[in-house]
Amino acid sequence: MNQSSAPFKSELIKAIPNMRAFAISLTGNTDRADDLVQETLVKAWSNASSFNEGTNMHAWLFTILRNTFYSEFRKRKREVEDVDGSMVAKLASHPEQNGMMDFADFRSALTQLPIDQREALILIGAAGFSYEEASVICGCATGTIKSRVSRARALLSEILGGASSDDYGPDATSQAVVKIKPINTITA
Amino acid sequence: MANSENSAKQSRRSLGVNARDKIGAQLRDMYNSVITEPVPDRFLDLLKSLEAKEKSEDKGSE
Repeated sequence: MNQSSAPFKSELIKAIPNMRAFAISLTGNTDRADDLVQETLVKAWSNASSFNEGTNMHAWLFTILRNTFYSEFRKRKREVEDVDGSMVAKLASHPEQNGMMDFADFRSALTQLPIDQREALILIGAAGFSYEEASVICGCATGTIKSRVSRARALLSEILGGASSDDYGPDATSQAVVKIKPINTITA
Repeated sequence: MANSENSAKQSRRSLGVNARDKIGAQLRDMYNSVITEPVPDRFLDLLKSLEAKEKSEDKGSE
């Protein structure tokens, strides 16, 4: 057996919960996230020699995961990118009346952010990377990460109902949608 | 005049900090809720099979 593979494997296993959290935050979807983690693990395994022992393995894995996510995203292009947040007003979610939001709501709010802002916010605000580490993972300047994080916070607070619930209550369009009866009740 | 401008700025900033704290806490809660989940078997199985494949390739090259 390859002598170096056992510790490498156990380090990979230790990193899986963090990789999943990052992937779920990026995709907003557990199934897609787990596929992304799987692909990342396969790539990491076959590129084990390019990992420098003693360096931050989480940062290395996050870089692979992030690049995999981006190349898949470019391939699909099914999702609508919303670079300047122009769709946010239409998509703004309405918090539950008690003001509590479960994680599903938060995840979906997160996926409404432009991807570059989303990943910067997650890396800094949740995964605990420094601005320097995040800039290496994303391949951009630290100043860029900083401004993306602050724009992400502002936009997210808008989406999550920074305004009062009256201001963000269901509008005529969404109320009309709610009133539509399910089709199967008609045919029965 | 300068005072009222300052206090307006102040209140805007403290609102911002509150919203920031709230978002930060929600983000970390969501993230941590995933981190504390057990590692799904599919990943352990995957690594096991990658390791087994490597082992058999090593043997083949001897």
